[in-house]
Amino acid sequence: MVHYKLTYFDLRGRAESIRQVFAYAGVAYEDVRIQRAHWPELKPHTPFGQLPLLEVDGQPIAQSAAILRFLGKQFDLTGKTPLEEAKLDMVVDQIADFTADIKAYMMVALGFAEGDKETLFKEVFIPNRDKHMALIAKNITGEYILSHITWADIHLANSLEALLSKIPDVLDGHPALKAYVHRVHAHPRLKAYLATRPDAPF
Amino acid sequence: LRMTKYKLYYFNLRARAEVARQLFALAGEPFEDIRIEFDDWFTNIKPLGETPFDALPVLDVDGTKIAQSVTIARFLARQFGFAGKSFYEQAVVDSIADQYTDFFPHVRPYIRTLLGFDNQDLDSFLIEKVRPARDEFFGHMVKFLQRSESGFLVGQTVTYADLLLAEHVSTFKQFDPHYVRDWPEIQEHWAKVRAIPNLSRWVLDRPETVY
Repeated sequence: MVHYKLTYFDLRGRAESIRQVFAYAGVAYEDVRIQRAHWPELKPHTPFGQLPLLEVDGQPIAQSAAILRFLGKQFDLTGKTPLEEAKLDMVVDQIADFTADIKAYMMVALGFAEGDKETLFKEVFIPNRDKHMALIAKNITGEYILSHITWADIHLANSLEALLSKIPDVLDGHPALKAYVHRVHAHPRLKAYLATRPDAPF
Repeated sequence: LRMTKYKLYYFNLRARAEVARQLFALAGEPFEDIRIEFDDWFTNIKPLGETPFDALPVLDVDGTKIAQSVTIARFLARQFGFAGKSFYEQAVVDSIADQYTDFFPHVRPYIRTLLGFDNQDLDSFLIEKVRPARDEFFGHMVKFLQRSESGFLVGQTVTYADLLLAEHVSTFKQFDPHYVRDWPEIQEHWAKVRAIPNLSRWVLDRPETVY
């Protein structure tokens, strides 16, 4: 039995998609949530001074997308061909671009930075939301990004749901994406996980 | 045996397409290296038709289009055997590529200024922004290099993560001749990657571009 240990803060953040992949796959893992005070001591022992960190039989993998892709392969939750795998990767890259493009707004909205929230919402969030949601929706032509659910759907649905929890009208104008999130989260193991996961500010 | 037809579409720059081109060179695989003029793209004459995300580079693989430069690099690397030799190694290689993606925004304004899209003072930006970000990034890379038996970042052979690092070093040594003066492992890695025959041939033959 492979031993999986995931280390992150006591937050959803960049670990949540990973936790949901484990939940969907029905695979046990150590879900280590550290307190901020312990981080400085742990930091130099991580590959890039960052979390999340996955240890697979003690071997470390950093960077959430790399972790997700690895687990997707392990749990057969990925594309069936290299081209299908690439399609998943590029949608996930697009989510990362979207996240980076709205960062200035999100930092203020989540209270990590000072700024004019209303102006940033109009000038940073809305145009990027419109651009990126249209591009992402264009690449989901069926029920999922491919014809079957994969790690990238779990990650995309989680990313969209995390946004919805902060900005309830973020998917207004994109009913297909709203339906997509519901579809992914209706899967029994995910539904059960979502109903019982710990509370966290984000 | 029908050969796969690869077409790589990008601007006449190294930038986000160069690692893909280098992978073709390393593998000795032919590809159409299509370079689009800025005017063609920006004036909405999009020779490829629809692209997945309205951006370049795009790789066309027998008619299927893939976007996003790191996805393209990973796809080609996995096809040609430059992605890591086990699923675990592949994940570590991917994580280094992601770390480079995290690092790059710190230096991007320098590049954008060179290309005429931004207005930074290049000298002070280099000292105040590029060098500190470089130091943090190189610090992580050196840990991998010090643990490595092969001199490559992961495992025994060159991967696309090595190409990303070496190309970055090459580019910035042009802008700052002392860029790796305090980083001997990085200099050694760069030399090792560039010494690979197929790659050194490509670097000699490729079009000269500012970036």
